[in-house]
Amino acid sequence: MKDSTVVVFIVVSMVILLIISLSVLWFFYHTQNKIIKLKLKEQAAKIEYHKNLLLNTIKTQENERARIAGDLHDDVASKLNVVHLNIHLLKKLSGNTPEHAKIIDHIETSLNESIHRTRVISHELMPQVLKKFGFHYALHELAQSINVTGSFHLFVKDSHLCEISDDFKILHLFRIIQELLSNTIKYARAQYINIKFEKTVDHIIMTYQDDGIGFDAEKSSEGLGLYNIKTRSELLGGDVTFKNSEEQTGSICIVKFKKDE
Amino acid sequence: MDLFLKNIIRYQVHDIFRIIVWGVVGLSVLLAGLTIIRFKAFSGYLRYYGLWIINSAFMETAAKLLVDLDYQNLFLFHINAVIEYTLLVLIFDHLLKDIGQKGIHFILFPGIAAILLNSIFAQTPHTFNSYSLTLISLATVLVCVYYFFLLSDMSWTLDKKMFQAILIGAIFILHISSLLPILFGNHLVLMDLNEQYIVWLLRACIVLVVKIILFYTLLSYVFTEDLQDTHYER
Amino acid sequence: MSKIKIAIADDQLLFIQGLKMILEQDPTLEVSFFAQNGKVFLEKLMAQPDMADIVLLDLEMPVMDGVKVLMEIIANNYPIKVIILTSHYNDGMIIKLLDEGAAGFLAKNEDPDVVIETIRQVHQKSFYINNYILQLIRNRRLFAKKRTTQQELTKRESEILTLICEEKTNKEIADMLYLSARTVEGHRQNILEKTGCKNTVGLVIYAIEHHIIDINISRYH
Repeated sequence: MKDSTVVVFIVVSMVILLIISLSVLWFFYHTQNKIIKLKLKEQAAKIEYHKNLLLNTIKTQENERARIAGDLHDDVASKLNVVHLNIHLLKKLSGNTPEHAKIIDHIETSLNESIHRTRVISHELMPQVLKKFGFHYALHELAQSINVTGSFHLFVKDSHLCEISDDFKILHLFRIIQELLSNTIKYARAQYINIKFEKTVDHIIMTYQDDGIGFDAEKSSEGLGLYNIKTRSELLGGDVTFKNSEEQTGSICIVKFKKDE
Repeated sequence: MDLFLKNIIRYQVHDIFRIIVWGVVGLSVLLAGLTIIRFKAFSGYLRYYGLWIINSAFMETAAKLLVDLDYQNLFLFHINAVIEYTLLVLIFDHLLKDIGQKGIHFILFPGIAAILLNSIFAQTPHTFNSYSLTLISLATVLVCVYYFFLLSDMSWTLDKKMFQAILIGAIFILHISSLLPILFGNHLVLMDLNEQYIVWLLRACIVLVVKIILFYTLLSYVFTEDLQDTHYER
Repeated sequence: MSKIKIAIADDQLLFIQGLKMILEQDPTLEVSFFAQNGKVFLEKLMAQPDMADIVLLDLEMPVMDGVKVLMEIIANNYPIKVIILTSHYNDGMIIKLLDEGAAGFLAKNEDPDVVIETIRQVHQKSFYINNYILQLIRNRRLFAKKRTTQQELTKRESEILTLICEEKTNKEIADMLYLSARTVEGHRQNILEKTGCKNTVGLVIYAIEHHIIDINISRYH
């Protein structure tokens, strides 16, 4: 065999082998990439789905609350009031024996209690002040009602900086504060509570701070409330950070969300 | 005319070849240096891989020096056959165990025995031990392919897989490109220098490129502390 | 004495009828008209502004709710006085609506006798506060943005404010201070402007908040 033929043969086969091996490697890389991209897409879709589920659950929850509160007022409370009026008329009718009077009194007492309970339940479901007079007033109202009890000192600073036009967003922020307050009152054994608002170029930041015993993420009962807050923060278009205070005891919760355009 | 062209080609090819060979040797030394400096960062199969790099550097430098000093360097290949074979077996043994397969260390001693037998009785240290080297390369290539199949099923991150793929890929390409030259090694040596050089030149280019890629990969690896865990853990 | 003319705005017809029946048992009271939503009520009111002295206003009504009606009445200075009669009896609403210009605030299930008494008080003195509301005002720092830029009241104005809070009518104040009734009215308007209050009850709240008058609970039943 001529030398040059051998050389040509060797060179050509080397090149072919090289091409084959490079193809092997490239093929390996390519399929791996595809598999991983697919997996990531799947995961992202799953996460997106769960997130939407959660958001929809909360939206539904709020709609239901509003509906029930409205129905309680329109259907139950209003009819009870009519009953109340008629009981009064009944009282004034002549021909009532003392027994009649006693029974009517009992009816009136129970009736008033029912009306009061309906009012309280309805108010807890959907705070009227929030709907009619806005976030700023409702928050101060909430602060007053807590301070009046004497067990806590709640300060609100600069709530006027919190400008939101979307009614739903206002509701979510309010609920977050309600949840935080409920946690503090139930678990934290705090005395001072501070809520302050700040505004940056595109964000509004609310900082909630108490001087209680701090967060305990292991407590599952607390955990559910905190998770709720997290979801509502996302509905606001923002996020939430929980941490324990460094300088003193207590917990800090920071909610940051985008301003309206 | 023919002869004139041939001479020109010879000088061109010869020079390019020389430059590339220096490049290869230089890179090998750099790689070895990098490995030695950061040897602590290597663990498991990477230790043996590191040793393999250092061994290659040593052998290539020694071979080049001997040629330049006009000595016979073929005995180096015999020694290298044993060392490289051992290191390769150990590398793949650990790799396969990492993946969860059985190790292949059982082929270590039979292999070494075969190589020694070949070197002592068949192809003595004055000839190129093409049989041993071809078989070593062939075996390496097959194990690499087997390894790639296994690797594609592992549920590691892409980064980690690619790191290993590049490292083993380097071994894979080095050996697959050596197969033919080594097989015809003894035949080539007897040929006209000009004709030979094309083959060796091609091989040297491939080796150079591979070493550059290997160097770059290892460089980025040793300077990212956290990557170590991702690349390293199971 | 002529009858006190009362209007009722509520979305429940049965409630209106029941209340009408109870109120008209009293010979001094007359229910002159009623409406079931805010818009209709305002239309009727605008057609004949002196058709009623006092309105018992519900908050939750379709088309236009009680809050908006109250704001309209105050903004246009209608002489009619507003008593809020609602199911939403909670502290925040009470303070805010009194601040916005309501003369009184009652729960819908209040004893009708109390309702009648409230109507009389409002007719006479333009406002009605009971103990509970007084406590509310006292216990809270009243929240209102207008308060921050108040001008100082003159001595004369403070005097008049005190007398207003003692439930004296304009004529009585004029007699006590040797002024004409018109002068007193003028002062009253100035005071309203300076303090940013919308009506008498607002003035009372202002006075209590700024310690211009001493809180004497027995005074306010």
